[in-house]
Amino acid sequence: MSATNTRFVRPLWSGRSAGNFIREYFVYIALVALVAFFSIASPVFFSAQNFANVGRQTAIVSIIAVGVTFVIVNAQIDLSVGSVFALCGMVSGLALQYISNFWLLGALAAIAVGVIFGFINGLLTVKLGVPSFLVTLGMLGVARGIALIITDTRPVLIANRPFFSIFGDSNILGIPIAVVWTVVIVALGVIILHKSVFGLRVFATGGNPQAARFTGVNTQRTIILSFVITGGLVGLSSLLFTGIAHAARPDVGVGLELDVIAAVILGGVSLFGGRGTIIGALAGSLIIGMMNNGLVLMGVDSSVQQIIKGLIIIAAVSLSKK
Amino acid sequence: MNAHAEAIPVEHPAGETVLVAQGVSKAFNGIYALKDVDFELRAGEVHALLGPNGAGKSTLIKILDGVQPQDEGTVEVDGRERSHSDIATVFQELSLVPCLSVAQNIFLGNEIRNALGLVQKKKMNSIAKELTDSLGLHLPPEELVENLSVASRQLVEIAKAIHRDARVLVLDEPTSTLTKADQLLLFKSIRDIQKSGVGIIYVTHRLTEVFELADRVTIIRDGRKVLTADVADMEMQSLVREITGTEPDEPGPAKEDFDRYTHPELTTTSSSGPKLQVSSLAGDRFSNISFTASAGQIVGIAGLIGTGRTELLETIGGVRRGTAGEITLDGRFVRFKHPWEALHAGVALVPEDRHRSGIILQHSIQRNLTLAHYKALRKGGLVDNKAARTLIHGLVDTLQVKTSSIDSPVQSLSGGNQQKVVFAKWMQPGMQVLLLDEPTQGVDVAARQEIYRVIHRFAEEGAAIVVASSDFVELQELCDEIYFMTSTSMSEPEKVTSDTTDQYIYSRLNERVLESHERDQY
Repeated sequence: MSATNTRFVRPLWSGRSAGNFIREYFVYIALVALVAFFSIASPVFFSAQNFANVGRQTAIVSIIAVGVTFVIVNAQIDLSVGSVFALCGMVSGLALQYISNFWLLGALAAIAVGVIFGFINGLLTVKLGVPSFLVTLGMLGVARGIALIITDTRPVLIANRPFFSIFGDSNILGIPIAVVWTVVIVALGVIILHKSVFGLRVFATGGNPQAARFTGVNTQRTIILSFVITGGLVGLSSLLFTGIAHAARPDVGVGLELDVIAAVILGGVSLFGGRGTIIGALAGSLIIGMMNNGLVLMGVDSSVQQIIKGLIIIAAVSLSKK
Repeated sequence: MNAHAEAIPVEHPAGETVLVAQGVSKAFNGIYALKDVDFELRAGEVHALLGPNGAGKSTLIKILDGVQPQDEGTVEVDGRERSHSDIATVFQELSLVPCLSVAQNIFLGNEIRNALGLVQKKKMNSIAKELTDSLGLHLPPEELVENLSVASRQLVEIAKAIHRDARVLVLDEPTSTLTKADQLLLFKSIRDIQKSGVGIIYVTHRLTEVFELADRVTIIRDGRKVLTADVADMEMQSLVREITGTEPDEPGPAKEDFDRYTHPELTTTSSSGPKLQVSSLAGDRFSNISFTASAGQIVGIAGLIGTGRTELLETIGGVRRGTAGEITLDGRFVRFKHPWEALHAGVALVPEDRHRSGIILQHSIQRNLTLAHYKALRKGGLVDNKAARTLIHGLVDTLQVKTSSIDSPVQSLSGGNQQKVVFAKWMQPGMQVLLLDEPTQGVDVAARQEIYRVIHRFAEEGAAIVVASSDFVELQELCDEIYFMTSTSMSEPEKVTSDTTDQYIYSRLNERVLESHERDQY
């Protein structure tokens, strides 16, 4: 039967030109090129020690990027992750200091705050019909303001050894714990976005919300859940920061949302929704992280670093669109 | 043939050749979409361009228009290489700017200016008014296009084309969204334009229109020209044969194929009462609507555009909220607040606008169908990929969807095959009611027959089927019973017989519209 069906084929779309190939695998090609460039430019770049560093430094962006990939595939955006990141850390630190110095409480407090903000972001987006760009822009201010107010801008010190081991400075088989967390979250992200019914609904909602609705998808719930996932992951990644810093600070994570969004878009996730992969977003995060790391190793001034990073992101995104 | 006509303005008596395309070829990624096609258009003729979906009609008109360059061959108008202003095309996707007025659209890019370079609004408005009036479209030129009906927009497009003094007017499926009344208006305008000596290329899937309107017909299939002939020399049967390349009424796939993918319990519908009963339902743009549909029955709803047919189906299907009235399913009251509630109860809606609401174009067939069939395919929260592929291969085979792979994006399929994928979404256990809104819009003749077959099978499986269509030939062909709908009333059902022709349906509808007007007035 299927043999007879194929005789009408006009494979206008199946032709895969070199341009297509580059577009699809652009982020991986760019990643390899970047490794090659920094390896030549800086003698210490290409070492296991430095790669562990890159992995550790990139973990925060990578983990949040997994969540933001869900949001962007849904054709939404989340600008609040940097501020919520700071607030999660603060609430977690305060919970450990004032309620009980039990590591799990600190962890749950951070994740809960992230989930609540994600839920609010999602709820306002779907129920008020306000574009998520504006909702999360507003929440960016709200979360940062709360983070600064609760301690009158003072950092909160954390003294909890198990907390540091689980989220901060330990290694498993020589692999930094932050990298282990990244691998776990990326693996879960791949399974949920690419293998589950929920993931299918995320793609459908972002690809064509109306058709998704007519096919029985509760698009509002899908969107809210994607924001909740992002919030939870923002909470988790705030622990990776406080676990290293041994303190929560209300002024961290400024501009983090831009790194994350740049990473996700670099990774080939369409800003228009309906297209993208978790692994691509990870590769994009690694590019951002490696650029931070490599430019430091090359001794580039931090102001100049910003300029270079900005230009590279624009160039890379425009190339990946071609 | 005067291919060497002088390059000065000439009078164009009817019958003179206006446009000549010779040996036109076009390939995409090395695959020919058009191969060595000749086409000739005379002044003052309506020349129908026919062919199955994907035959290359769109490519040909884009090349004639100059939107797309040809790889080989020539296109000449009045013996010169055609320039862009020679040909005006009204594409299916209308190219008007919704937030501008009728006049502003007609003059877009071609505004009348005074010495200071400022736009002369009054002059433009009066010329636009004359133009639209001459097309039987009586509306103020300041009216915003976004407030117009689809039919009126189409006429504005045509006015824009006429204003540019084009020698050739190309209409790409202009009636696919029109009701009979609007269609008659359009045909009248076309005949007027014809008299002025403009050559008209008319692309359509509705073959009855060819006999009503066209002088000559050209058929292309698989990128090649099959024939050009006078319509007077053609019959419906021969037309269908040439378009599809097969004899009409080819037998479909065995029924057992279908049964494999549906549920046995569906066939044992026990209740003798109606499956779907709608009583005095009111909602957006309609009120006081009652009708019933029994298991295995195909019920048609005939209504003019704007009577709320789409809104009615969407209210039953949970897309919109009703304001009054009752819906029962198998005798139980239901009020669906969301489409997924309706689907859970086995009520599926096949929407009018396939691209917007029916399917996710850029996603693969597999992804689209898995989304709808997830209940049968999930294992834990995950999708059982192997089971999905088996099921979807089965569905694609059963419905004879022509595709190279179930991984192909839906947008790579022809319109008819896209619509089959939409139907494949609802070929699943427990389907009680199918609500079909314009089920074969933009679908070619051959695929249309196949879709009718699919609809009949849903009915044989015990589903109640409600079809709303502005194509009255379709209602006659497909339905057991027809209801005539105005926005404030529904008739008693009438059995469909050979007397229920499209003219009959049309006149019955007009009677009802008049009646309800009188009722509203007194």
